[in-house]
Amino acid sequence: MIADDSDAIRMVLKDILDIGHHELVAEATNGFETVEKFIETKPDLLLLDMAMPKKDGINALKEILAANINAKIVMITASDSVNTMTTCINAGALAYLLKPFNFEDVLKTITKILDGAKN
Amino acid sequence: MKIVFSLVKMSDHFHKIARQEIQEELDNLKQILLQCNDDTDISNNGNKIEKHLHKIKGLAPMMGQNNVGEIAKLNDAILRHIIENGMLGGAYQIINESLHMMQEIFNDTNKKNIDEFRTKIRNTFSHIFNQ
Repeated sequence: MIADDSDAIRMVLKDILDIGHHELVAEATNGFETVEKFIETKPDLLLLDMAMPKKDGINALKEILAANINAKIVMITASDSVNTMTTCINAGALAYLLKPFNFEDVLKTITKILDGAKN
Repeated sequence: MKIVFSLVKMSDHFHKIARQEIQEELDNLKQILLQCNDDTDISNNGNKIEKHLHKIKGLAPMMGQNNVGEIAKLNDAILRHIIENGMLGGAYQIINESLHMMQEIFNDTNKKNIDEFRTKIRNTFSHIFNQ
């Protein structure tokens, strides 16, 4: 599942999932929709943007993990501050991808997490 | 695999949508700055301004607009400093100049050298960038 309010970013992420032969089960463009669709579709992994309208990525992540402690979530953000990174990991994200992201790194991270290894 | 990823990156459709989104962020940023008259106004609108710079910073380099991305990144750092510490002298002028520079670069096919402007921003706010 992909959650990002940018059509362009979702498009790139969809292409990356496609190249990696991963099925996209849902997309969301804000935090509320992200939580709803995650609970509804139960994706193997969520690529979640931090800065989204209505509900930010961190709060969406916390709600999803409260509903499903085993949810696999990778945060995506343009913020390169250590604080942001620490916040994501402490909140329960398995990994953190920095925008502008390296496409190969995104696929490697997805593959690694889906294979069961914590990034 | 690298070739496939390059194709993804350069997709015309992606480029078109990314361009629209960045233009929208620049337009929204301009609207906020039009309502600001000084450093205090910048501080009062810090979160709103930072939100647009943050989007530009993340997306512009992915469509090859590295200079726009870099100016947005420098201004994002300035705004984060303002949000955490309050009003910053000189921010109004630099942020407005940065918006004009980003608009100019974004709408000009010729590569523009931003070295001088980058140095100006870094020197103006050396306490932020030399940490």
